[in-house]
Amino acid sequence: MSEVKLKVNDLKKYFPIKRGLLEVLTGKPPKYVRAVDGISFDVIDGEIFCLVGESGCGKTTTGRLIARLIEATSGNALYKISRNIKDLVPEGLLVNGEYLNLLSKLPGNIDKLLRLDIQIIFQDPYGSLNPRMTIGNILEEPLIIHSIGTTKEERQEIVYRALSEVKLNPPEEFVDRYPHMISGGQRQRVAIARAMILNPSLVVADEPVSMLDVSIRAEILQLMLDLKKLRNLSYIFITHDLAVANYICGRIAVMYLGKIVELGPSDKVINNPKHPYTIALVSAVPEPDPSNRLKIREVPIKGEIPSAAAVPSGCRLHPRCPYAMDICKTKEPPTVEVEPGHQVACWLHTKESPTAT
Amino acid sequence: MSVLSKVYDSWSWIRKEILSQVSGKVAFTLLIFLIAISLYAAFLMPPDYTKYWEVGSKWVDNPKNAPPEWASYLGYTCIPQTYYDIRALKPTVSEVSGRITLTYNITYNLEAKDFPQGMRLKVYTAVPQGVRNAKIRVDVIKPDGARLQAIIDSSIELANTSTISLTIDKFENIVSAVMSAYKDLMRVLSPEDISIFPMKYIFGNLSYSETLKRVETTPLPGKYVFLIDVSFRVFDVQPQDISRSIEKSKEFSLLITGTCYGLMGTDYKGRDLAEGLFYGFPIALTIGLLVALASTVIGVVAGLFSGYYGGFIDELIQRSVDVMGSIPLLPILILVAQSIAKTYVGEDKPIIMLTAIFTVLIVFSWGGLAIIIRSMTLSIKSELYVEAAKAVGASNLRIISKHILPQLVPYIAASLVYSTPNAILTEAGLSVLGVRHGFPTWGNILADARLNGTISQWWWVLPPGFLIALVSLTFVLLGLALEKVVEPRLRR
Amino acid sequence: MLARRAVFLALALLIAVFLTGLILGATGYIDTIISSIIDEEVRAYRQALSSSPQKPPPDELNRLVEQRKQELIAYWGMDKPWQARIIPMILNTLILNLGKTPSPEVANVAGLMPNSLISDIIAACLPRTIFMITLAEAIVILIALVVGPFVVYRIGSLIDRFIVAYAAIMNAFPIWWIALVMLLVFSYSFGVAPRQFRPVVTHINALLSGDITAFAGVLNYVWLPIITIIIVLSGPWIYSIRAMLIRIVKEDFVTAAMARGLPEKQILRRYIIRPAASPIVTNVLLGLAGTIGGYIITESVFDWPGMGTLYYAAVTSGDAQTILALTYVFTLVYVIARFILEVLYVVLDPRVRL
Repeated sequence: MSEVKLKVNDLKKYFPIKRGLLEVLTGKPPKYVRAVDGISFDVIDGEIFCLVGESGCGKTTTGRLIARLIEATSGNALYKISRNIKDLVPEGLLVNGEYLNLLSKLPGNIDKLLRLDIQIIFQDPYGSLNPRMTIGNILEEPLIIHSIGTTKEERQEIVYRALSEVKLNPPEEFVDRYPHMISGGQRQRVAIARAMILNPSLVVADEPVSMLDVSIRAEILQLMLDLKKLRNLSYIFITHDLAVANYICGRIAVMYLGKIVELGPSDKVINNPKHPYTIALVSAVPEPDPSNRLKIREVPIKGEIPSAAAVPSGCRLHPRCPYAMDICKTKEPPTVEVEPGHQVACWLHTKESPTAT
Repeated sequence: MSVLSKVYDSWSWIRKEILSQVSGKVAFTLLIFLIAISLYAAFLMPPDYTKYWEVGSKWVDNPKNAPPEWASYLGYTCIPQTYYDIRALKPTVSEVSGRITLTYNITYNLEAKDFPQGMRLKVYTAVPQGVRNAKIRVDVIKPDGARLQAIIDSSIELANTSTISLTIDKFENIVSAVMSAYKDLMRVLSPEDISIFPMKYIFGNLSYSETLKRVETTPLPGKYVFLIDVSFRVFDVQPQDISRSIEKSKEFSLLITGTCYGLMGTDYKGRDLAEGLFYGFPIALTIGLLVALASTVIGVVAGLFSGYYGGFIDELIQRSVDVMGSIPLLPILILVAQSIAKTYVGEDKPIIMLTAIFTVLIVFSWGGLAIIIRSMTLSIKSELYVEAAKAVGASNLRIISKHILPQLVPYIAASLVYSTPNAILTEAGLSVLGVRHGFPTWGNILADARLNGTISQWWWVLPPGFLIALVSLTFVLLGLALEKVVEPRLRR
Repeated sequence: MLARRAVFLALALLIAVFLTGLILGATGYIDTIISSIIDEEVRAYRQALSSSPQKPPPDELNRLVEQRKQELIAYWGMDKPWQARIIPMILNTLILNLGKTPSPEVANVAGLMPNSLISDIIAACLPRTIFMITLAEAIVILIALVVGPFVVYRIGSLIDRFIVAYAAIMNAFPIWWIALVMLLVFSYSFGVAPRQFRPVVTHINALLSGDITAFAGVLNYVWLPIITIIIVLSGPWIYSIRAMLIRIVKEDFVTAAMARGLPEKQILRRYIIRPAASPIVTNVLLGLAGTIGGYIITESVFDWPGMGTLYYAAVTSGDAQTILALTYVFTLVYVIARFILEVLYVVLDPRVRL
C-alpha cells in the first residue's frame, strides 16, 4: 500500500449541458456530457503512468481532476502526500495516516499546500505562458505565491537554477525574454521548469509534446525522464500518440469515451493488445518501415467516436467494434485480468479469464 | 515595487504609441499646457472662490460689459482706466474763518473719441478731533471751455464720528451744473437725458441738432481739469493736521472708468473675464477628471466582477446597463438639477447641485465600460495561462490583478480619455440651458453671457466656448491616438 | 428571444417614468410647486374676501381662508405623502392618460392656452422638432453614408485625413455653442437669419394643413438650425461610419475582390456595406430616435418651439404631468426603435437566429 502514490476509485465527471428555458419548464431531465464515467487506477510511487486515447476520451479531464483544476462529480482519489508537507495537514483529513482524498472539498490553505506537491504541464506551450510576462516573471510567480525566497535575489537564484535544470542556459539570457521570443521547444522547457520549481512529487503531463515539432519531442521526453530520475517524481502522462507512450510509459491505461478499456505494462499493452480498441489504435500507428508501405493495413474499427453526451448503451465501443456480440449492446463488460497486471474490459475476454464472473 | 514598474511600463508604452502620431503629439502638448495652467491657477486661486466670483465686490470699479484692451485694433474706441491717487497730490490749502479748504487739481486727458463709462470719487480717511463738518465739491473744466460746477457737492456732518467714508459715483447735481454751463442750450436740454447719461454731458460736446430737435452729444477729446475742493469746518485744528490725516488716509481717489479692460474684457458685473477664464481651468479639469475617474473605476470593478464571477451579479449588472441605456440621460439630468435648484436652500447649494449632476452622470456612464471589461475578462479568464496560474496556486485576486487587469489598461485609458470632456460639456450645457448651479465654471460664464449680456459681446460669449472646446479637443485627439492602441486592427 | 427583449425594453420604459416621478417627489420639487400654487390661491381668496362689499369680520375672514386652504390641501393631496400623489400621475401617464397642463410657459411653447391637453401640446410640438432636428440628422446621415464609404476606400489619403481631423474638431465643440456662434454671426451681425424662431409655427401649421407655399416660410426659419446641425454632426457621423467600415475593408475577402478588379461601387455595396449594415442601421435608427428628446439645449439656444424647449419649460415651471408625459414619449420612441432593431437584426445578420 505504501508503494501506491495515487489510488483513484470510480472517478466520475459529468458536465451539465445548458438547457433552454422551454426544456426546464417541461421538466425534461438534464443532459450531461459524461467526460469521465467511473475510472479506477493506481499510480505507483516513482512510475510513469500513461493515459492513452483519442480526443474526447476523457484523459485530459482526468488529468485536470487530479491536478485539482476542476471538481469531480463523484469518486475519490487517495493521494500519498510527501513527507515535507504531511505534517501541515490536520490529522482528521488523512486516510490511513498518509493519504489525502484529492477530490474532497479541502480548505483553502490545504489546497494551496497541495500545489507544492502536485503540478501540471500543459499541452500548449504558447498558451500556458502569459505572453505579457517575461520568463523570469512567469517562473517567479509560483515562488511569490508560496512565499519561497524572501528577497528578490533569492528568488532570482531559484529561477536561474530552474532554467538550468531544463537546459535553458545561460539562464540570465532567458529571464528577460518574452514567450514569443523563444521557440516552441524552449517554451515547453519553461513550462516544465515552472512545474518543477515548487518541487512537486506528482506531475500531470497533459500531452506535453503533441504540439512540438517531431524532432524536438525526443529531447523534451528525455528531459522529463532525467528530471524524474533526479527528483524522484511520479508522472501521470497523457497522450494520444502510442509511439510516445511506447517510449516513455511504464504502465498504460487506454481510455475510450470516459472509461478505461485496457490497463497494463506498456510493452504488454502495445505489443499484445487485448481490447479491440487498443488493437485498432496500435495498428493505426504509422508504419516506419518503408517496405511495408504497399501493404494495405486494415484498421479494424469503423466510424467515428460518438459524442460523450450520448454514450452508447452496454459496451461503449459496440457500434464500431468488429467483434460486437449481443451482450455487448446491453451490458457493460466487467474489468478482467488477462495476465498479471494486465486488465481488459471486454466481453470477449471474460470467457477466457479464470476470474471471469 | 514590481507593481509600480509594471504600471510605469504600460504607461510608457502607451505614451510612446500616442506620441508616434500627429494627433497624439498635438494632444500631448495641449494636455501639458492645460495641466500647467491649471496647477498655476489652482495655486493662485483665492479662497472661497465661488463667493468671490459671485459677489464680485472686487470689480465694482471696473467698466461693465467692456471689451478687452486690445479691441482697439478691431476698431473699438478704448478708453483706459484712469486712477488718480489724490493723497499723493499737493493741494492748495486755504483757511478762511474756521474753514480749511484743500483744493486739488487733476488734469485728465481724454484721447479716444468715446465717453468713459463712469467716474467715482472715493474717500476713506480719519480726521483729527475738532473737525465738525466736511464738504466735498468737484468742478470740471472741459476742453471746450465750459465749466461744470459742483457736479459733486456733498456735505458730511462729523459730530459723532471721526472718519469719512464716502463713495460717490452718482452726480445728483449734474442737471443744474450742465444747465448753468450751457446757458444758451438751457431750453432744449433734456434733464432726463442728463441724469441718465451724465458721462455724455461731462465728457461730450453739446450741440443742438435742427433735424432731430434735440441736443446731441459727441465725444469731446481733450484736456479736462478736475478741481476737487475738500473743506472742513474746524475748531482748533491746524491745516497741517488736516493735510497729514489726508495723506495718511486709507483711500482718497478719483477713478475714471474706461471703456475697455484687461486681457479678455469684462462682463455685466464688471468682472474681469480673464480672471474668470483663468480660474476656470483647474475647475474644468477637476470636473472632467473626477467624473471620468469615478465612472471608470465603477465600470472596471463592475465589469471585472461580472465577467470573473458571473452568476446572479453578472445578470444583474448586464440587465441594469441594458435598461439604463434606454433611459434618456439629458431629460433626467435636467430634471434632477432643476428640482434641486428650486427646492434646496442652503449655503452649499452650488456644491450640492454639482454633486447631484455628477452623480447622475456617473450612474449613467459606467455601463459602457463595464460591458467591454466584462467581455475582456471573460475571454482572458478562459485562457490557458490563467489556468496554469491557478495550477501553481494563484488566488482569484492575483489572477485578476496580475493577469487580467494589465490587459485592460488600454481600455481604461480610452474610457478616461473619452469621459473627461463629457462631464465638462454636460455641465456647461446645463448652465447655458439655464440650470444654474452658481459654481464659477466656464459654463457659468457662458450662461451669464446668454442671460445677462447681449450676443454682440463677443469677448464674453466666444472665449469660454473656445476654452471648453480646447479642453474637449485635447481629449478627443488623445482618444484618436489611443485608438490605435486599443484597436490593433487599425494599425497599418 | 424577441419576447425577452420586449419585456426588458418595456421594463426600461417603466423605470424611466417611475424614476422621473421619484425625482419629482423625493426632491420635494413638486411639493414646492404645489405649495406655492396653494399659497397663491389662498392669498387671492383672502384678497377677494377683503375687497368684497360684504367683508366679513376678521375672525370670520380668517376662518373662511383657513377652510379654503384645507380644501385646497385636500384637493391637491398635500395631506398625504408625496408617493400618494405621484403614483396616480405615473400610472395615468403609463396608460397614456396624460392630462392637462397647468403651466402657461408650457402651453406657450406649443402656442396653446394653459389647461390644454398635454397630448395636444405634444402633437403640436412634435412636428417642429421633426422638421428641424430629425430632418437635419437625416440629412447628416445621408451625407455620412455617401462620404463614409468614399473615404474608407481611400484610407490614408489626404481627404481621409482631412475628414478625420474635421470630425475630431467637431467632436470637441458642443453643438449648442456653435449654435450660439451661428446666431451671433448670421442673425445678429449679418442679419441674414431671423433672431426669433417662434414664428416658424405659423408656417409649419400652414404647411401641415396642405399649403405648399408655406414651405418657403418654413425654410426661412429652419435653414440656420439645420445648417448648424449639419456642420457639427457630419464630422462625427462620417467618422463613425468610417470606423465601422474599416474593420471590414481590412478583411482578406475585400482585398480579393479588389484584386479581381471589381468596380468600386460593387465592392462597396456588396462586400463592405452589406456586412456593416447591422451596426450602421443600429446607429441610424437610434440616432433618429434620439432627436426627439436629445437636443434640448440646442433647441433652447434657438428658442425653437419643439419638444426640447417644451421639456425645459415643463421642468422650470414644475409641470409634473408634462414632465412625466414627455419622459414617457422620449423613452417610448427610443424603446420602439430598439425593438425594431431586434427584428431587423434577424434580417440583416444571417448569423443571428431567433
